[in-house]
Amino acid sequence: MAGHARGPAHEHDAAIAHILRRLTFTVHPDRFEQFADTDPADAIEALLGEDPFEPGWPELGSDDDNSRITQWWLDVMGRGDVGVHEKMVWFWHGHFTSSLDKASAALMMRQHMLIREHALGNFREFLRAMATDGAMLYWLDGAGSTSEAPNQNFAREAMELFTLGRAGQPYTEDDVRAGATAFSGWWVDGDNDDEVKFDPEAGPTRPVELLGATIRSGESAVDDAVDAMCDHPACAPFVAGKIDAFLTGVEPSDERRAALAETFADAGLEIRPLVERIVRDPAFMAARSNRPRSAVEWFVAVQQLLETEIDDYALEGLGQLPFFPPNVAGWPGTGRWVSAGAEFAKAEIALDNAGDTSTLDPADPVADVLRRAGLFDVSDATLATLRQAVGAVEGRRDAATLLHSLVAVSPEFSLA
Amino acid sequence: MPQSFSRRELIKWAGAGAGAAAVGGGVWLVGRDDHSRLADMGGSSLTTAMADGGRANQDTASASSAPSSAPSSAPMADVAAVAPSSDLGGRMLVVVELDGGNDGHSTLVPYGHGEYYDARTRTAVGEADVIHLSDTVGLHKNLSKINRRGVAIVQGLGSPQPDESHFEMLARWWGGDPASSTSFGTGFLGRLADAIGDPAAAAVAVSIGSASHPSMISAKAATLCLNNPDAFDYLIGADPEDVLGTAFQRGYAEFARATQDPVQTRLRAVKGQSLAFARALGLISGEGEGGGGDEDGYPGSSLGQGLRLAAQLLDAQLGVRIVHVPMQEDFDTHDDHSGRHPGLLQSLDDSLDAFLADVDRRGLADRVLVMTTSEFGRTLRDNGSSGLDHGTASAGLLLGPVRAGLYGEFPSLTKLSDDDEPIATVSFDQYYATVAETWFGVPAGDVLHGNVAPLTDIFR
Repeated sequence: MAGHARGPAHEHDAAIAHILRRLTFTVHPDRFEQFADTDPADAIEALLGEDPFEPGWPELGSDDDNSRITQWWLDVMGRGDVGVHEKMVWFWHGHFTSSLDKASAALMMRQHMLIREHALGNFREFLRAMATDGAMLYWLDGAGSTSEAPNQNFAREAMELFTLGRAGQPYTEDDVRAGATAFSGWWVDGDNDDEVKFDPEAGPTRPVELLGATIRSGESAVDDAVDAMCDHPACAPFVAGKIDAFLTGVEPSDERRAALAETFADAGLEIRPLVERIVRDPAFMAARSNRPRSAVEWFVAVQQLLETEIDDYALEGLGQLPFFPPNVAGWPGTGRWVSAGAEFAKAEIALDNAGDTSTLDPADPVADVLRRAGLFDVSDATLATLRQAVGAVEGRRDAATLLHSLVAVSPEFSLA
Repeated sequence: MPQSFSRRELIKWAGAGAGAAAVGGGVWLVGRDDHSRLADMGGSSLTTAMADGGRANQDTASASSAPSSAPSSAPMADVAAVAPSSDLGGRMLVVVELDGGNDGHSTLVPYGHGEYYDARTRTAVGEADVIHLSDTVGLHKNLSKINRRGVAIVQGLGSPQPDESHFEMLARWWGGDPASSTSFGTGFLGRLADAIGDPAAAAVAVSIGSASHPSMISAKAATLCLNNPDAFDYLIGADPEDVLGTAFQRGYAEFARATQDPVQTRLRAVKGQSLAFARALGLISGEGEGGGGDEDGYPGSSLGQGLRLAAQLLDAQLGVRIVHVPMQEDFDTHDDHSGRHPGLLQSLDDSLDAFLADVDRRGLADRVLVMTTSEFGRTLRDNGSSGLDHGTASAGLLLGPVRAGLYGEFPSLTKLSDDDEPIATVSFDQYYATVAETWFGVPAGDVLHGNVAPLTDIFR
């Protein structure tokens, strides 16, 4: 291969690869082929226009349920027919967090299906559904909370992390206390298939003031509290900014955040129009390889590259397990994915799992493996390393193993 | 291995908080606004306050012993006192982080204060479970092992501007500013590493058990976060007969070489760091230290294993001076506090005791200081779930060549804040200053904002 071609075909492929990395989890060969002759902007529209992928339920009822649902979800992420909706499901799991640490696999699956239902839907309805979701009630200690001595955890985190954020101090400790009262009275009936119920005697018996709004007593308190949070002026910018950062890899400027908030609010807090606006904006295409892949993104991409199923246990070493956020905030920040500790884990995963790939085109194995990895913006230094490696081993099997494992740990492959 | 990435890159990529806006160029060397520190406390927060004449710690006998039994003033019998090493350059620090907010009042129990029992109808620690340290406070009995070794307890530890968010307070502790989570782009332990570390060391500060930690962010010293220390043998040391493994390691080593490409700079630098540390871990493992069984007394818990590795790293002469070990057990006892908390203390006690024994066997007892941290304490009153919500003042524990006893001032349980919570008497930057200045000889102003005075007399 004489140098690396940077003509229009190459640019096209690089643009498509970027779109697929950001709006799905892998540069899947099926997708790549689908868009072989498609203009990048049209590829974005095609992805936006797709229906959500609807998986069947995983089989539950064994001791292994936690691992089972994790592997099930990772498999869904790796499919060649999932798109924007799927990526947003992953985003929302890191936003409306809950964990297998406190809820059963069955409850986490119910929550997961709720997330799937609302991922591109209406944020207000989403929040309302999450406020009385069984897994969430356990995660943030709402289950069994009574208005006499209400548990503050959900009210606080709902404002701090789910709706308003902290910038500008949009809520006070009085609001946390009022919110705690408003969300009290809900419980999970373990004797009845974990059905979530409201107990009027445990719930709020008097109106309270939350964020300047009056919250009625009784079962409606949770609806009123959700409205109070969603109607607060801090909500749209906070949520819109977070979605923007997820999709573009960059925290928005104040102006951009305000503009996106306006789109979001004008749409009645419908998530789809916001997402559409973000990905159609030139800033999205300009955001190529500007942030590290998160552990799960890297893992799903590596599984696809190495054509094998890797035990999800390996994700622990990488610092990110689906269904196990380390705390309520999920996995904030992108710098955390570039670390010496993760390097150890990646090397282990790559070398242990690269033995089952198909062999490479003997005419140009390096070009072949890079194409499979969806990498089109590769530095000269990395190219030199890969080419050098070809001569280091004998036989096409070993050459394929070596090149695949090196690509998996290359600097380029660690970028989103 | 010095890093060459810019502060702006650090700030850009440092994961500091949930939906946090850009840190915005907080240059840590510049002083901050002067927040009045504990202005209403009056007097003695900075001096050694041995409450009620209590000095040495002793085990208590029975539930019936009256609180007025005067504690002995004799030093502890079981363990020989150790003076701190006079070689400041040889001193080391282990930070044990208690995740979730450790309840200070269940750790250092104010058994002599009626208000304590009034406030905690479901979660109080009974006097029978307390090792009396004074007429009014004592250690939970599940900390008896470290009590026998001698523990310096910093009372009323917290922030002058308390916040009840895990995330906010963790970020403040990790950054080292009790008032703000965003004023530093580096971590407190990272800055300490910058101040004390050998620039050529493979790693000056190590965090065990996580793949990435904000407290480790430094300006120039090499720091490392290690989730699985055993995986080093993928990066180095392949048998030459293993052609594939050797070729992989060679390729990886090339990926670690710096290039002109700015995007790749940090990515490649981190690979270089990994290699250096892999070599160091290889040396430790080669000496047959890895995997000790029951013989060395460490529990099988995450903390136990982490502290064992900490001892090995500190003893391996790699230039590691600071080891951070998140305990990885949940102290966030919003419910069933009495069912959960004693076990957490027991687990802590067992692991710390094994570590201190190990450090002693290695001849390092005079130069290894252990400190506990936790993002906040818990509410004075219990909640409806037999638990405790996020609170303010807690207790810090220092172990090693320390003068056992009580420091700071126990927070008032009657004069409370506007949120009806106890007010911290020792700001955690004072706690940090004690370690930086009195232990390491680093001026507090080099690693913390403003003029922070350390607590005095903690080290022999």
